[in-house]
Amino acid sequence: MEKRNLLFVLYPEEKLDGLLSYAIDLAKARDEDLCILMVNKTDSPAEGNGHEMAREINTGDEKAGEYKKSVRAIVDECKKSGVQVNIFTVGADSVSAIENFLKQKGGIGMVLLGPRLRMSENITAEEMSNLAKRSSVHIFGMARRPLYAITHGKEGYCFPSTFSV
Amino acid sequence: MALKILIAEDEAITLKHLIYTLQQEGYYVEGAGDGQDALRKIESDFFDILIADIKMPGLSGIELLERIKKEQLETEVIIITGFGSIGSAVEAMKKGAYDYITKPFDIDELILRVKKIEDKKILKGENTALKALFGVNKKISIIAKSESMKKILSLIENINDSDCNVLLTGESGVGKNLIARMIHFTSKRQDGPFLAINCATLTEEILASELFGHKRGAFTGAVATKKGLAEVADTGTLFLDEIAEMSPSLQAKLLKVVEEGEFFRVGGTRSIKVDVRFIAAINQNVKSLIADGRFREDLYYRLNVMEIDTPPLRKRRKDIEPLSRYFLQKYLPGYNKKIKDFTKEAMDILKNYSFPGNVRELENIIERAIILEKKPFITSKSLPQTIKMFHIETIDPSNIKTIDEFNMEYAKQVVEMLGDNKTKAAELLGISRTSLWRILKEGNRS
Repeated sequence: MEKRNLLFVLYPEEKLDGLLSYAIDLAKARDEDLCILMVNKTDSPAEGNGHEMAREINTGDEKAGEYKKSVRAIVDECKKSGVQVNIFTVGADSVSAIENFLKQKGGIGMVLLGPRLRMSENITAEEMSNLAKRSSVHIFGMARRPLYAITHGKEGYCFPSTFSV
Repeated sequence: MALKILIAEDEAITLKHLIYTLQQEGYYVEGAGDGQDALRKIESDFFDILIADIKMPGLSGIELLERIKKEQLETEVIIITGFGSIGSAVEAMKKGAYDYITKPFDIDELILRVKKIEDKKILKGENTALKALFGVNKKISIIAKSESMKKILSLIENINDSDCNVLLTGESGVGKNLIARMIHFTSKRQDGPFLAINCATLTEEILASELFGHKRGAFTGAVATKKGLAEVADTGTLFLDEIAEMSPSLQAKLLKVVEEGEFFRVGGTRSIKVDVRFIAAINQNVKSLIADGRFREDLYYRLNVMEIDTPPLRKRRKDIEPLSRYFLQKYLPGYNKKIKDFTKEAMDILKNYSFPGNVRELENIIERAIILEKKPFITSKSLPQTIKMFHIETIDPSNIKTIDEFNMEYAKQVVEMLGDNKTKAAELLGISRTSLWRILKEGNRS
């Protein structure tokens, strides 16, 4: 039987510095494989809630080209670390994308939300709370530490989008 | 549980005498008047020992031996041969008989041979149980400095006289397996086997066969009859990890074992009775699993006679330091390093991290640090950079903060770290001083 998966949910524009290594280390510690769900918040839900393997995205599309590049980098890093990875992309709002994904795909051990998604103004506290209530797996959110930003400068530091006032 | 013995003997008086004598010794004994009758019984039930006369009408003892070795590899056979037919005895031994005895024989001699088989089976059972333990010593110790873990240890102590089923809940990596072992090894069943199985790692068919055993030919690849863990764990404890991953049909079968202590082997027609204590573990939200129909409510209540919820490591931060030191001592000998302790900075980093992977994640981090560290202390440099970069929080429905609250807390942290210098904080956050002031104010208001 396949190993369980750590579901890592990201916006495609999320900077991967450190994030992926963190998710890989965590998956290894939990003896799980990695499942990455890229939530394309700019896509309209009409494009469908179905999950599509990122590598199958139309190569002619400019956006798809960026995805492909990002997917390749993820696959390479996971391969180097010996963690199996499956990447999915979905054009829907984050909460329903995660809920649908959990319903459709079994064997998810935990959900980890990328910093941008966790801090997104598109997700209300109520939606997040309902997601956690309805989900049978534990959901965790990531935030970059201010201390790290202070000691290492602004580079690699991502301030929540909600701060852009 | 008493050994099950089948005696195949065509002489009615001898058969009756043997049945009576072995029953007096405490064994469960059945008799068969000829080879065909014995074969029918073997096909419908499992016997630990077959005692068969070599000469019987219809089917000889040797033919019966051949059939039983095809059907039930674990059944040991003692052949009774007539005086002077040593050749047949040798043939029987070559075909897999455990022993032979020549007529006329002293009944004590036969009992001695049966007892030898019994000892062998006990040893085999213990060996299986030990293998399942992966060499872990019976003496289980749990590091507990936090109040919540101390309460769990005291609860385990309180239930050591009880034989109730236990449901362990808690996130993955909190140590449910260790707690299950502790419950078993402090209970009245400590001399019985402790067997553990992870229900998430096996397919439905394999899990059914592992749990309940199977009859030869029950499915492709079932070349011999095999006992399941529920049977091997008789008089002991069976730990079912990640039980919610079990299919609904298997959950129904398990419910029968939990309720009645009875089950059928896969492909079997006769029920097997066992005396097993069940400890099950779930690392998901049980209520949501029941609501989704993924976990049977009746099974939940049967297993949940006593529920022990192990808190995640981030909710018992007092345990981080002693656990870190424990893992340091555990892994040091393997890497031939002379590391004395942790620097304060390294320990502070560990204490402030959320550990979504719980104790298992801490263990990995410490082992990795030992490998990387060149100084006599574990420094922050040998800890993963990522645990310093990110703050991980659980999305707890009861503790959801509004974005304003979250932003305010975040901004407050930055301001505090810069010694209350708001101008510097605003600059670092990439916002104006007025915006920072507004965030702090709005957060307070909400």
